[in-house]
Amino acid sequence: MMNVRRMIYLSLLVAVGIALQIVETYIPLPIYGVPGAKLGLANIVNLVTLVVFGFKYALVVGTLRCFVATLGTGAVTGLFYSLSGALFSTFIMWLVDRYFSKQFSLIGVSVFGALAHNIAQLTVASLMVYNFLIFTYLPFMMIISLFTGYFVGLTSIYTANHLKKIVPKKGNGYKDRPRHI
Amino acid sequence: MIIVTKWDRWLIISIIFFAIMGMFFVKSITHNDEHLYLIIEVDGKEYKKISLDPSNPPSTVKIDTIYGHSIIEVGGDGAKFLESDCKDQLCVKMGKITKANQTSICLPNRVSIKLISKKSDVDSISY
Repeated sequence: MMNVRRMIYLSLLVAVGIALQIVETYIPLPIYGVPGAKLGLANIVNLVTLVVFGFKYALVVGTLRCFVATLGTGAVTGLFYSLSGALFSTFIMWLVDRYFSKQFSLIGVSVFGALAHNIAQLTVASLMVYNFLIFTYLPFMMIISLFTGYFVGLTSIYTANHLKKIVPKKGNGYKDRPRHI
Repeated sequence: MIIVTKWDRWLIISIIFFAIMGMFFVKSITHNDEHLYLIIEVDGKEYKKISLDPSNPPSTVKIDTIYGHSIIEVGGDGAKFLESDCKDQLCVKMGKITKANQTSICLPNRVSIKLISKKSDVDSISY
């Protein structure tokens, strides 16, 4: 049986992620040459959950967020892209956070996550239309993901620091790893 | 409080480096020195192949499938999505493609258009 307070914080994180993902679709990002570039605000929630609660819960939060936000935005084809991106980026962020938490701060972890998000989405898109030329957008997306990843990481640092103090630590075997900040 | 570590800086620098290398690579495979063909694909299958000729007046191609309806404008030097009934309208915003190996895609309608020249090494990967 899971600690009820932890469960409440997890469901709050899911709710915040859903809201961010829906609001994000109304923010236009007019960058020439790369249509569909997004801020990736919902990634903040994934990263914070990963740091505060652990890998397993980050996967659950990411999956739930994608499914419910799809109901909100109404883009069913978007589900495959957001789901694949969320799962793969969470996995990469977990790897970096697990083994390189001494070297990279959350900004580095988040930049890795944004990169993984792009690669997963382009892979799914190229498989769906059988057109591998879509990878020609990757360099442009990498530059944009650098900026969005940086600010997502910066936000997550402050959020995670405060949330770590509030959320009860008990019971789930997540050890606080040493890190620079 | 150190926020950006040394490794973060190297990560950012290396990503910028690889992105610029990638842009040069993309630029090197999108060049025009041969006759251009426009290939329209629906759900991964070739729907239509049009030879582009600068003397031809612009024409439109209508695509009606179970996924949706799109209209593609084919000019003498390139092609673009004129309109599409998809939700996000990203294909329309992508604009005109004018160089070999460039591509524009409407994901909800599963329509992709791309330009190829006769001499192209990417084709062997795509098909």
